[in-house]
Amino acid sequence: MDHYLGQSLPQMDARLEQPFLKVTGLSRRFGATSALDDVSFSLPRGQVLGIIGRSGAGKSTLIRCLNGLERPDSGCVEIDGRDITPLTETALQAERRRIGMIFQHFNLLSSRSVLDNVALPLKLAGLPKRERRDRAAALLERVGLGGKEKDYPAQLSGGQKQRVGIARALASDPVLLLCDEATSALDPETTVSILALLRDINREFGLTIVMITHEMNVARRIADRVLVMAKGRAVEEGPMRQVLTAPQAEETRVLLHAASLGFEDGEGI
Amino acid sequence: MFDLPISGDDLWTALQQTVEMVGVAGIIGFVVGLPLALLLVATAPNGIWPQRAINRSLGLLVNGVRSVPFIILLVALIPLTRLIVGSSIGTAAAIVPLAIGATPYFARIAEVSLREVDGGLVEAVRAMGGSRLSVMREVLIPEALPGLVSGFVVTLVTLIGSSAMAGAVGAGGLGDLGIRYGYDEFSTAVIVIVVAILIVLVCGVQFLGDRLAARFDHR
Repeated sequence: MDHYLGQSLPQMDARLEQPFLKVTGLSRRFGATSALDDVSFSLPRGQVLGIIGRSGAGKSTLIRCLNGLERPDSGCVEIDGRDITPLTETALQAERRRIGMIFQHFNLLSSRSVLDNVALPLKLAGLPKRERRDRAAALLERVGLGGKEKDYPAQLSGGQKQRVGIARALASDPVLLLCDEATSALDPETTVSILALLRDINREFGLTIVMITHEMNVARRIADRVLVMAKGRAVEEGPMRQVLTAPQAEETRVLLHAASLGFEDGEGI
Repeated sequence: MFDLPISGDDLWTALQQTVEMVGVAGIIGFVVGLPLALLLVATAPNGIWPQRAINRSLGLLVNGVRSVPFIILLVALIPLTRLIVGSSIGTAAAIVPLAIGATPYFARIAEVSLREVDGGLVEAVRAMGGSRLSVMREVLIPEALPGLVSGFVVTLVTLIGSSAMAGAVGAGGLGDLGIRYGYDEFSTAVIVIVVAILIVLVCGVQFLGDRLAARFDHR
């Protein structure tokens, strides 16, 4: 008994101290342009990271490297201690089942009902029909869309579509949730409600979240930490509060200034 | 009224022959053409399985068959037909060249519908751990279904037209009846009747196809 405790406690400590997500020296080139240039950061379990930058800063490439949709030229991505970069496509598929993703344009299948959209990850995982329907219905209830099961995505508003997207991303019990400009196609009010939902889910499930956005005001609402990107490089990284009060990089100041002006569509800065 | 050189039974038999040729050739065209189209879309440079060599060869094969006029295909394929059907004349014999003509035709139409499926949907399913096969089964085919149905209708209508030429290998059918009695024996009435039946047939296929496509369309 003694030796059991003696071994497991330090191991548990190590597990808690180890960052849940660790990205090291990530680089990716497309032809002559460098989309990612030696990007490194880490994130503790259960925290929300906001990756912020203007369009073309490399945010999309970075978030796609986190679930292997994009293969980096060099560097590694460790999730819960496991490097996913050397994995084969088949091994990656299994890994992706533990990583949820939501998108700017929701990417719901128009040919399927809301319920079947949410149940799709479970279908891919081979769950019996009954089970996946029950689970999908419960998730829809959780995101506030009870009663919409039989609707088709075309019948929903933008905010409702993103709620379906979130329910779908949660279906396979992910350990990590990736949000790709998840609120950029929504009006300000809906944006606030979606961000609140994401924050609730983060707390309720202890789910680690990585979100990319070009709006500092979006990141400010829910991120614990922030990573600022410019031209493929990570120019600043730290706790949200620290970055807000004492920004180090010029790019961070520019983004903060744009946010304070309520002028954030990124292209105009 | 008219002194018709054909009987109602002749018309009925001809209609059945046309439906048989078009139906069987259409089904074969769909069953072979759809995987061909999926392969064309998947192996394209921006597809889910980029394979330049396979894409090029398939594209060449499809274009090759499609550029041969049907009447030439009909004659050129006689040895193959004899091998498959055992005879080079008759309705069954006409199905071979019709199906071989319909396959690349439908494949190209289906390819266009499949390529129009939003890449974001493919990405979403890959992000949830879907294999390439799941992407095809769960995204490409269901999302393109209305277009695939409409494309199949276009293929069937084209087959109805091509099947008129199948008379050249003694396959019978409405077109053959029209050519033999109407055109060769100057019976305007036969031409009018045959064309009227063909119009009804084409309109019927189009109507049912449109209804089916609309049912699958939830966009």
